[in-house]
Amino acid sequence: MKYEIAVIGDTGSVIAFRGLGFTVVPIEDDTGAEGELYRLIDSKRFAIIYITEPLARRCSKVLSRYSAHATPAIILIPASNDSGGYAMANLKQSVIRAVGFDVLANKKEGGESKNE
Amino acid sequence: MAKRRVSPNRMELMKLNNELRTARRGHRLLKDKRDGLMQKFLEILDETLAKRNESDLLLQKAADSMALASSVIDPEVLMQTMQLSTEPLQVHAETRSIMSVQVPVFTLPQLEAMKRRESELESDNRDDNPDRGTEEVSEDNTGSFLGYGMVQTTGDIDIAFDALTEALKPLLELATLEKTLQILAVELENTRRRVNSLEHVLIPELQQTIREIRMKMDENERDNLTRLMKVKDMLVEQEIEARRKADERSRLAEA
Repeated sequence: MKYEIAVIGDTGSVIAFRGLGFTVVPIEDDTGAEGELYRLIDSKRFAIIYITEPLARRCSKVLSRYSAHATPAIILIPASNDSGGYAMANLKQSVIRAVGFDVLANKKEGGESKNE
Repeated sequence: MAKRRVSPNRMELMKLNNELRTARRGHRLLKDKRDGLMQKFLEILDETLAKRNESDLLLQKAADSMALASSVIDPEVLMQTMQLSTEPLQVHAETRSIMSVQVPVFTLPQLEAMKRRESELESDNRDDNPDRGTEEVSEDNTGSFLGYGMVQTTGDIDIAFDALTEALKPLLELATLEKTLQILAVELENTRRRVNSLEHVLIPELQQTIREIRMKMDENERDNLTRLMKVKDMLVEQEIEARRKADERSRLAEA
């Protein structure tokens, strides 16, 4: 199946992706961000939707709703002005959901103890 | 524990035994599936973490280059440059199966074609005259995704776009890996729940019901046996009584 790629977020972070042939949806204010995301998903044109971390934090409901669907893949990217580590937190949540406890924390501790 | 209300007979016992056998087989299979999924999940988790770090670094590099470019170029020109539309990038979504879980695989035909062309050019360059090869590269190297002109832009923006193009492949791989991880996480959670409910609810419940039916049937058997013994005792008593009476009758007749 052929699809396109979309990217949604603040203008400064996402506008450059237009040059690569992505569909860019700049969002400046909070209102309507979820609506725009739903519009992109419902169009069924996009297999991957990249979303900046600050915006993803505000649209967490949409993200969790579509996490089990094969398409679209909603992937977090850092914003140029702020990368709050929300992508990592999201990943951690998936791990806890799957394994039952935080493997990443154990790995980190294991890595640190090895380094020590 | 919730008990099943079933009539204690052999038919029910046979049915429950079959159910228990199926539940145990299902439990074993699901446990194997859970272990297999867990192994795959942890492998993909490591890959995803590495890929996320890589793509974050590349995107940061691209953002820095873009910031540098925007400081040199007139913001209006920069925005116009960005607005110039290129062909929309087509991505192929195929599926592959991990432990019978369907996960998507995203590929970019344009990126692959570009790489193929580059490798062909490289091999041509090695084979042919190096001067001719260089010319061909400069002519053909427009295989990037750029859709802006060269008149009003500077080299900085080219560097920024190059950095972004470099981040494209890791970003695509990250999308495949993260989506796989999300789908596997949901499947793992469901499998874990199924295994737990079989292990802690269904199988003990079936075992308990079977034990109760057996006890009830044993009790019925003992009841029956006691009744039979009692009946036999009564019959023996009647026999004895009848014989005693017959003996008395014969004694009286003799007298």
